[in-house]
Amino acid sequence: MKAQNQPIAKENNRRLVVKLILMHSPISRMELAGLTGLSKMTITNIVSELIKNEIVEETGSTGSGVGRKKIYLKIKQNSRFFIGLYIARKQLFSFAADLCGNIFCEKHISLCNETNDSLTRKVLDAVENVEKRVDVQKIMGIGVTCIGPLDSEKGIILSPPDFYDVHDLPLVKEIQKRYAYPVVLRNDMDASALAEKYYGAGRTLNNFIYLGISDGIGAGVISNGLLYKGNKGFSGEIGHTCIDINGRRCSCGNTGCLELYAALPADYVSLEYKERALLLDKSCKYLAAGLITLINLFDPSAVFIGHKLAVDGELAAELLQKEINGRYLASEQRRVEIKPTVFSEKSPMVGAAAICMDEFRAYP
Amino acid sequence: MAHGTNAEMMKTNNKKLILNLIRQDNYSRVDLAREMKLTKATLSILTEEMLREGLIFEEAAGEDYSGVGRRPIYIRLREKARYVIGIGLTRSGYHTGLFDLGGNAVRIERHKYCSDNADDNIKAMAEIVERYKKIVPLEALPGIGVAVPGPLDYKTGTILNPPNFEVWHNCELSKKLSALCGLPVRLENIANAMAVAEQYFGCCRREKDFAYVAVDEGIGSGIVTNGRIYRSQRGYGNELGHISIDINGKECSCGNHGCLERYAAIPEILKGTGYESWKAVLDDNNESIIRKEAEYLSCGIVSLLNLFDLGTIVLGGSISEGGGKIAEIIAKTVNGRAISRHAVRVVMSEAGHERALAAASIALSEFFF
Repeated sequence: MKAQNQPIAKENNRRLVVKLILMHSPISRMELAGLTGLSKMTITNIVSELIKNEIVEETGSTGSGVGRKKIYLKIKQNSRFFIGLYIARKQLFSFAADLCGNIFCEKHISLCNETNDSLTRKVLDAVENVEKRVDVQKIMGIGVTCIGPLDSEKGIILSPPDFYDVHDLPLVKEIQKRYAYPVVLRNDMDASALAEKYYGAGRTLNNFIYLGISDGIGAGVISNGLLYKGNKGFSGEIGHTCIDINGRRCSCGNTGCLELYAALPADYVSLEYKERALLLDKSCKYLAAGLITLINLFDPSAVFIGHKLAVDGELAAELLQKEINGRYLASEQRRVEIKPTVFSEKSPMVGAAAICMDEFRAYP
Repeated sequence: MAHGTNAEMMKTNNKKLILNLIRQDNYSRVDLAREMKLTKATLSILTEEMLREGLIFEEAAGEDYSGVGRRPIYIRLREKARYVIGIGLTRSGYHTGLFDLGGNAVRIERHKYCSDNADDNIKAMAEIVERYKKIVPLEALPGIGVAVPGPLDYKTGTILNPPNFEVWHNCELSKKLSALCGLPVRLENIANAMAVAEQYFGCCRREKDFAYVAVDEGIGSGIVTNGRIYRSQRGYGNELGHISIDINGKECSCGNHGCLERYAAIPEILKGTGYESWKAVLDDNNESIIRKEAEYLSCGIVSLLNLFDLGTIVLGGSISEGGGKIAEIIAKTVNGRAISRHAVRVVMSEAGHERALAAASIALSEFFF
């Protein structure tokens, strides 16, 4: 709970309206008033300002029915840009994204034997490259998604496993030494969940989970419409929950971690379909145990699966759905939908735009 | 997230924040303004209003004040300014109580169910509420909190289908009780309510992220995150007892395999040992059973920590009777295994097991804190 005053409340309302237009467009002013509980007058004022600033535009009205035509609103494309980065284990992706989540100027370079210094240099070069190619006046901020664990609050990459010599890197500070834009850093799972919330199939859902499987396993949780962050941002580590108390020791210090059994091999994407299907079948048996844990604790109405699992997303979703049905609590009273993400393997990239949108300030 | 903020909500929010801060610590007006990042003028408008409402009073710091300069004047919560009613339902009966803002009981009673019809029992509860209403001024009594076994729909105040609780299935308790006694009623599951009681009156007064883990015949959990109860819209979830700690393990009636409850619930751990209660195990100091139970619970708690990233785990229920040795073992184990880099506290419940107080805490959270 934070204290509020007039300017804070005003900014919060403005952000809320932008997000709602994004998630529910096309939407009318009247509907916005209904959703927010704000007066029609307040909504009209906020929307006028957003239109004046070219963030929002009016779209064709529907002609059917009697009475005055309703005018709908949507977010204007290409009106503002975020610079996005996705730091994966072996690659660094850079791109620009507009407020609608459209991605362009996409590039990637490979990472190997990186140190804090060399990674910082590559990141700064990547930012510079994107910045050169869009209208600087329209850049709103920089969103970085990275494999965890991170300290999002302080903007530090802590100690991702098997990540060369990179650890305790204050990346946000390093970027801000050179650029004045706001910078957000979040782990790739949380960012992927937000991607689903703002741009994907989670737009109208308030409680759902993004489950990402590659050589690690993690989850991002959206709870009551917001990203679940926990005490210090170390939440959603489903890969490190025990599914076998008598099992193998994990490098994290825990025993029988899900990740030891259900992770997909690094070369998974390049394998033949037959081989992938076999691996998937085995992985999903274990994954189901983790998934049930998530469902019994967080009660999501949907789980979106992604990262490498998105390569065979439909098949994986089907396998998992079959495994969990009847095994989570109150299966008959509540349905939990397992679906592949709409972004295939690009969730963490779209996520870089989404984390900026999540912290979006309309007029920096 | 879909709610905007208007002037009235802003004020309610800020007043709640003030009450929450002074409940935890010594705050002068200057301290409050600084902490809340409000101007002194804005803050004074709020505190003046709260003084007039009788919710707070001012008190000079004691002789023992050790800071520099003049002794500050603290803003204090006036505990006797308002009251709430708490009703905690169990499978065999219910506890009722009338409490002030400090959780001090004016009345506290235990009752048996008068029949196996939910409506009859609600009528009986309403009569008790009527009695309580005569004890304190009506304007000082904003509402009632009710704590029940889950699952429930907290939005409509409906009990869903908790096992061994058939009489109450699909009962719209909030609506019915509220219609009879003319006060708003908030329904919450008992583990969450216990967690909030710990937050206001127990061992988590300054904590924002913690779980209350109840180990009895079953295992339940209540989670407070960022200072508020964690709950999903559908009212399920928080079922720590039904996470699998062994994919090849014992079958559970829920349909899953290796559920934590099948190993660590009190009847399970006592099975075949000859002991009749957890307290007997402790009195006997049976190291191997205590360690075994600690290992099972640690396994589930590490999962909880890695998913929710909490600062403290509070152990409640019958596991907390008779000494904190198991908390020490679990603390040592989970701190070596959880992903987060911050230390996690594992402690025994301090707010006690009073269900009426837990239920009242829900009303306090709704109307004041």
